Amino acid sequence: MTQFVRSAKQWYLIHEETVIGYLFLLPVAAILLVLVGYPGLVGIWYSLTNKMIGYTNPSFIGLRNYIELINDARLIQAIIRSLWFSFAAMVLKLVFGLLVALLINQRFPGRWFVRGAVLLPWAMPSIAAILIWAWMYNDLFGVFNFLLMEAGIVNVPINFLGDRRWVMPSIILLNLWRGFPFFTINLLAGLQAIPEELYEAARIDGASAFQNFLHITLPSLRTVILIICLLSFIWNANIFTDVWVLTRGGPGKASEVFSILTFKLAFQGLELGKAAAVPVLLMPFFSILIVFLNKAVSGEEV
Amino acid sequence: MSERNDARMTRRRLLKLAGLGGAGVLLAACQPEVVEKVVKETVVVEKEAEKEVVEVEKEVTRVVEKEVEKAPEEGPTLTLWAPKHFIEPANLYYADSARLTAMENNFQVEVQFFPWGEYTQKQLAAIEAGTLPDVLHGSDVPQYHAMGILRDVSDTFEEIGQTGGGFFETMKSNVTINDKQWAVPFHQEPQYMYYRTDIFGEAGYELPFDDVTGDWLEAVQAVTKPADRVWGFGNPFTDCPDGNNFIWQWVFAFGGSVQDEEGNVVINSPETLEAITFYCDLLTEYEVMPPGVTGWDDTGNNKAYLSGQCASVYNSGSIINAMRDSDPGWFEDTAVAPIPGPVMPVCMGGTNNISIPTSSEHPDLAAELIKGVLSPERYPHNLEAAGSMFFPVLRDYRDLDFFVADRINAMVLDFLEHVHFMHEPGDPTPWLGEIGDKWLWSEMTSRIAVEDWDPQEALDDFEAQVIEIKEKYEEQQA
Amino acid sequence: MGYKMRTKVFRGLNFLLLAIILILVLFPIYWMLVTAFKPKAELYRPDPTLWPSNPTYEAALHLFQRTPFFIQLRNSVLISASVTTIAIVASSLAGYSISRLHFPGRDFMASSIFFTYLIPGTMTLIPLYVFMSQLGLLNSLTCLVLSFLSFTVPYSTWMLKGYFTSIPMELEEAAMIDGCTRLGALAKVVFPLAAPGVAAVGVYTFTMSWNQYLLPMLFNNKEELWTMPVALAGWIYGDVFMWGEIMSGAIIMSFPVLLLYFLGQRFLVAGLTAGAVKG
Repeated sequence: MTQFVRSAKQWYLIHEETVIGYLFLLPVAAILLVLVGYPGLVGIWYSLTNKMIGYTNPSFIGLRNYIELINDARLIQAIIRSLWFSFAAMVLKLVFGLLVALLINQRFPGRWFVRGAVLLPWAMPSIAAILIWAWMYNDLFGVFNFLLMEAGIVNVPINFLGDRRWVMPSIILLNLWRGFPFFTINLLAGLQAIPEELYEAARIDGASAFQNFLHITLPSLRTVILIICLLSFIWNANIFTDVWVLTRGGPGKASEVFSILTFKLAFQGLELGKAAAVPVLLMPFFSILIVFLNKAVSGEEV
Repeated sequence: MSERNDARMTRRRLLKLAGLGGAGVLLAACQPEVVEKVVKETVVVEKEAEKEVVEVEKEVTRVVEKEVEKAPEEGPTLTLWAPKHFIEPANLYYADSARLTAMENNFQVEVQFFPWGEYTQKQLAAIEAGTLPDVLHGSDVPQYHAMGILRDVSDTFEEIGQTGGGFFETMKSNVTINDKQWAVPFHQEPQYMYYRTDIFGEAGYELPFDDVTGDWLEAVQAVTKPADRVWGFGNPFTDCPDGNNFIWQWVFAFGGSVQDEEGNVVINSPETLEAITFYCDLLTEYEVMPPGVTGWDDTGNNKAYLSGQCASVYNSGSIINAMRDSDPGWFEDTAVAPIPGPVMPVCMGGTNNISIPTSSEHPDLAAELIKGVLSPERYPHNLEAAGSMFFPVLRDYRDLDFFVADRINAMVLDFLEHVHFMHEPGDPTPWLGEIGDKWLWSEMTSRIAVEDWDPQEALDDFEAQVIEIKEKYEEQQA
Repeated sequence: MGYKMRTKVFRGLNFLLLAIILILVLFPIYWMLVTAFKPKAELYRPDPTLWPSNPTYEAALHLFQRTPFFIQLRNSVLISASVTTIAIVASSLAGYSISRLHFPGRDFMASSIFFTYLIPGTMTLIPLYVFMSQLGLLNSLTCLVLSFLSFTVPYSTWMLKGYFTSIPMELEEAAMIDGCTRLGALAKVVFPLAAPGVAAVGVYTFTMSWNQYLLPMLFNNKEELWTMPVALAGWIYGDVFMWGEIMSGAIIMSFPVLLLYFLGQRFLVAGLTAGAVKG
């Protein structure tokens, strides 16, 4: 008996990390298996059937949904739209977020107020923030058009959400407003972690502010930038609520990103099977992003 | 803001009633004295611009009940789902009328209202899980019938019809599949054209118009003055109900239709082509619509009319309601009419119907509930509580003073017999609903007007999509 | 131009830029406020007034009179707080496990957790609803807490993993050499050091739960079991928007989050990317 206890103890000492490791993972694993894994698997099963909401007995149709989707120009266009939207919004948020972070990283009176203020857009309830932008974008009553016309910049109201050329930029602008604070605070954290000595040394060498930025600031922020950009990209590639509330994918299909298409398939066409196939199709692509992100968050070189 | 009622007062009464209901509606046991009455009050509204005083009669319809001793709970509880209406008294009275009906029949009812936006998803999720309520408002009748989740309510339909002079033919056809009724219409909410008679009058045009390609076009061209930010007509070219539904009525007005009596797709016709080409020309060629229509949401036409930027628009009663609430200055100069056709005048029959899901454990009580809210004692109040938003589904109620005595309501009554539904001349079918759900109509027109597609090409694609949808349903039902 | 002068001009330009940015950033929020207090007639004007000519709080009153507003506010607080608590406890443990322990299958587990974050709601919505119904959990606050966990947990695990990585391994090892068990070192050294990260994750999680607007309406039938965002969306009736009510509600709804941000601002900055910032 004692021998058994001793060997068990030894076994534990050897395998402690494994035991604790799995034990600690248990709650999260349980939550995700039950609440995401199970419904997700059901979804994947649906994607292999002709499942329609409300109509029972879906029958197995193999990869037909996938084949139909791949041959559907509408899906390809939606995916391309999602990707360039995510990319453009990411770049803008990075530039603007970095600018603001640099500005508020300085010492000046009232800094606490400004730091709080730039966080405000992020703290606004999303549904309300989107609606107020829709209202501001309105061509007849929107304050943007009113101001632009008062200032004499335009003569005819700009049709922000109804013109194919304007609709995506308008959605990107809203996304920039709602999303840049996330970039700013993370970049601010990065900036504050850069040791002052690096700048001191550079000053002695006679480097200009711009050179400092290029050779010290940016390299130090490299990983932070990588993480927030990847995150922003993943979030935006899945963006739904903003576009749905603003345009429902219109005018025409001009703002139909892939999540909108998925939603329309499922809840307007009732084709749950086909709708479930869309995210499955995109998984390989996102998996690559996730692998990168995983490494970046762990602080590994990418 | 407070539309046609004093919310505080009604709220208090509602709470009182809810208190009773919550404690157990069992008043039947102790023979409650239930009194229903209509309260009228006159509210003085000061008009901002001219500082003139306008009197607006506001009608508040509420149930008043005597204090009754709390009774023990008894009887089964039914649930009822309905979309929440923006006119609060309509919701409140409706809930009251359901509760009173339940009280009289020794059961209880929980009335649950939902926001419009995601009501469909709510229903779809419940269908999958089998958690639909006992009584369901606003179901997609042909779709749900095809799913096999609706109970045959022909008897209830028949019984209610006898109390009110029969249902309007269009209302009946809309819930009838294979000669049986699968829902009971509750109210109709037709959609029609709004006209600024002052603006058209100034330009020398008078209602009614005969032909959109003739006198109507001349008139809207004459009143269009972009420099003053006034356009002759405006309707959204986007994926929203108004942008979508308008087009099939327009097509009907030109003599086109989606299916024939046997259910064959006949949309790809010269009539349809002419209708959609002309409609898009209104924006791109004749420029009688504001350029912003390609970005309007569902509220775009409401706003354009209320702000005086469009001399005519197409809408449900919500604009009238807004004008009664606060007059932009041309309520008196507003007239409503069907879309004049080259072939026939058309306006869209909107309706909200009540059905009983097969999953209900109390179908008989559910039927009683439907009869109660449509009964001669309660139905008139249900109509009046909604201001001018709800029009009767039963013929006799056309004669209510509330409709006859009101200038605009009387105009709407005039064309109630002439409303149309998209399934005509065939039976309601599930695939037709999906054309609307997928915004295919507005997709077709925005392709032509915004994306420069050739009209015939857009129509061909539309037809192909319609046929594809139809086949999808045929596969499911096979 | 002297060096001092140049610095002054530079600083002046800086402030000007900052002022412009602030105006741009705050304008939509200002517009929300103004909209909340405008009478209805003043909303639909082609020349919007920059300040309500007749401010009214009628819209806000409607919120209290027509909807169980305070109950929904309480639900929101209750749900978001529960989700936050459960999420940070669970994801702290998981984050620690996948960032600092070495065991077979670790990387697979880590990737799987993040992967679940990519499964979109549209795909899982119906199966999740059916599942909740089978469990008999519909029409309760519990089902909301559970479903909100499904999208907050992967993200918070992710963030905390990064944060744990930033805490030097040596501290833990030193404590273990001093006689602490692994769990002892964890409780006495690692978790206290991770507190700012946990606080930051808490704020993110709270915000995400706070904003979720579709699920409460789908899962629960009674208004009394809904949350604030559903209440706001409920003021859109087809083509009729109750702007005053929506915006008044939004302002009230933003207070708790603002308070949290204000209190947690210090930690927020330390949050997600701490592990990635290397001095």
